[in-house]
Amino acid sequence: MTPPDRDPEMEQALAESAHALFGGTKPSQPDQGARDVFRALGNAGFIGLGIAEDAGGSGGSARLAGLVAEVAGAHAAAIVYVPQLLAAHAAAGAGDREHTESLVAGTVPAAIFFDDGAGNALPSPTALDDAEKVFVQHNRYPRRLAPSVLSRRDDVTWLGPDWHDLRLEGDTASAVEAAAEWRDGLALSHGISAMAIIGLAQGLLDRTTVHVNARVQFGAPIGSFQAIKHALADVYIDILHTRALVLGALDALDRDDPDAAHLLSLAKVAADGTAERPRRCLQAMGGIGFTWESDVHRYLKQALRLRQWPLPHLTLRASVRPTSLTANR
Amino acid sequence: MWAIFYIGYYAHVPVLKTVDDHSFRAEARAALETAATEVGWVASAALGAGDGYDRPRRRQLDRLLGQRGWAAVAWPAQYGGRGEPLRRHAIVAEEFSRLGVATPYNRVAMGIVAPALLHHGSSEQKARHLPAMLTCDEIWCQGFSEPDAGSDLASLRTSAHVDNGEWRVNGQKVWTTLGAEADYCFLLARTGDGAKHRGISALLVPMHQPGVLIRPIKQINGEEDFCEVWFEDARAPQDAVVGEVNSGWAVTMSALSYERSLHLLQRQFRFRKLVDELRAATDWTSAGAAAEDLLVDSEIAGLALAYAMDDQIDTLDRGDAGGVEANASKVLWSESYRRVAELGADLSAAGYTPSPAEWVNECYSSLATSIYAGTNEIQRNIIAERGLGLPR
Repeated sequence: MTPPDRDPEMEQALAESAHALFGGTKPSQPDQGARDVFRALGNAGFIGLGIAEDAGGSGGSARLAGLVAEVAGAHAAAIVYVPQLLAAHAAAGAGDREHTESLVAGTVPAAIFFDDGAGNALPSPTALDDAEKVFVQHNRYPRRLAPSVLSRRDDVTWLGPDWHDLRLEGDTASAVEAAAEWRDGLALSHGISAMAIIGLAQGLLDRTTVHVNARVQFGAPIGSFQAIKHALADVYIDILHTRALVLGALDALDRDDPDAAHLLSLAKVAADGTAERPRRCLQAMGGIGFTWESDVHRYLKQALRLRQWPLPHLTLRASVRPTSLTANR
Repeated sequence: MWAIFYIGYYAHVPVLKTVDDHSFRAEARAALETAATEVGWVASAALGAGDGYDRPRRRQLDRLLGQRGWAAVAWPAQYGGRGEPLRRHAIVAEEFSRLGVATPYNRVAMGIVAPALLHHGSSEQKARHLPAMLTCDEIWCQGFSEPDAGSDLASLRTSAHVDNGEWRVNGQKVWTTLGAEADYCFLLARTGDGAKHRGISALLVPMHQPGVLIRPIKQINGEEDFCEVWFEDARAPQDAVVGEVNSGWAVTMSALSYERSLHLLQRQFRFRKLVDELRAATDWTSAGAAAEDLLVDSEIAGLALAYAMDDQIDTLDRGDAGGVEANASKVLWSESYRRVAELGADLSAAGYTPSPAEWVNECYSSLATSIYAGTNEIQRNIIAERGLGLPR
């Protein structure tokens, strides 16, 4: 087991490039503009990260895909990048070259679901109105994941504006076009979703520090008050450690470490905690954070959605206990 | 059973980027095990074996390993080290943890004084004291806090002035770890007129002299690790200042920063070991989901600390002092340690895991960790001001 080579300068350049892309073209809502973002992501090679070039991807590692997901989160664009990336991985994992290429190129926006095996579809928090293809991971928990590809307009009914209102019609298994095992699907999804949460939390923390430096009450910037300092310091402490854990777990996945799936599950549990921390940022922002006048709500909502995806937080917690409690694993 | 378990566990998740450094780890492990056998050290579980565990043998063990160049591998060879990167220091620290050694016997010397001397001391000071620290021939304490200068350390009032070619020290220190057995004190005293941080010097003061009075303080866990110390015209040679006169604040801050990074490394190894022991010793069949989740959270905290500190070692090895990462890890470690100690106490009280008295004692010991080495409140202030740029 050799750890993947790391190139900090290359990672820095990748992050800067991703910041330029997401910062320059971020959509505020699912709309036609999002299609441009998908194509720009495809042109930059971001969607194919972690997929071998001979399978239609851009090469690179899960770690690099995670770093881009983090930047997407920092610009509140996680709902665009994360599902598209994972749908591409699902198609590639199933050996579906045609879908892999169109997804990687960003010409076919996609959504991805995790079927929890009990008849419940767990959709990604995606810009579903844009999705032409919907990938369903039939989740024979914990490892065996067989993707179905559905044409959205024929097989999926979009019931409402929020993610939890999505329902699949009929027996999704009958709509399977491609079925093969996507071995690391759930583990990778945990890592990517976790990195997006880290980015969302950091993006929100950055905005909050600007606010508390500028906002004056009682004759002083509110950031000089210890109650505010300690609350935001706790967000920093959480982000620092969870980020290190998630990246370490993605490295484990990249080197085929047998513990990678468990590590990524633990990392996602940690990130789910991080997804709750932005509440402290909203508290420090005061009333403005509760409105659409600021973009705090976009960060908070995406983080709380990703807390429940690819598995609901409590389901994930229950799933890690048996392994965590087993010594000598 | 324990030994087999630890080897199995750490083979999976060692100091994380050291997986390819097998030969060095094997060499270090063999050296430590040989020395342990020679002095009759019994590898212990983490539970119940903190800083106070079998101190006579720990002193012998550290002396032997100091003589053989294994007590501080990152130090320059001329002072008894091996000139290795800190990454290898971390491997050795982990191997010490494997033997149940929580911290070095001479932990103030190794954690605070030596780093200060290595960075700011004169060549004479280094040659005189560093090898003696390694072999435990000089035990050191620190004289920082005072009755009216705790978190606000810069308001300290102990003073020192030159009289007939030597320093005379007057004042009172408190929370002086290892004060009762120390040969020397790394002491902060006011030597100039500058306000607060200015006018403070770091002095190396001999403890065995008439002007030094020591009173051990019994702690909540029954140990007597720290003391009150009075200095009444105590003497120190004129060349006993570390760095420049009146520059002691900068010297101390860099030493404390080092303490947080590398000293904490060993503490977090012990924390992870404690989590493993609790996991292995507990009958989880009916402990309940709430307890299980707390154990999972402890495992997560241990892994997150290990990965984050791994990054910090890389930063230090690049010669970069880093930012507030070590402050953040100190907070997470101390609060996670307290939580796992409470979990152990709860589980043992309910009969799901053995050793209730030891777990209660861990609870007591854990309470110190959010207070010493800079309270967690001060750490959070530092993170907010220096890390996040919030106003003072």
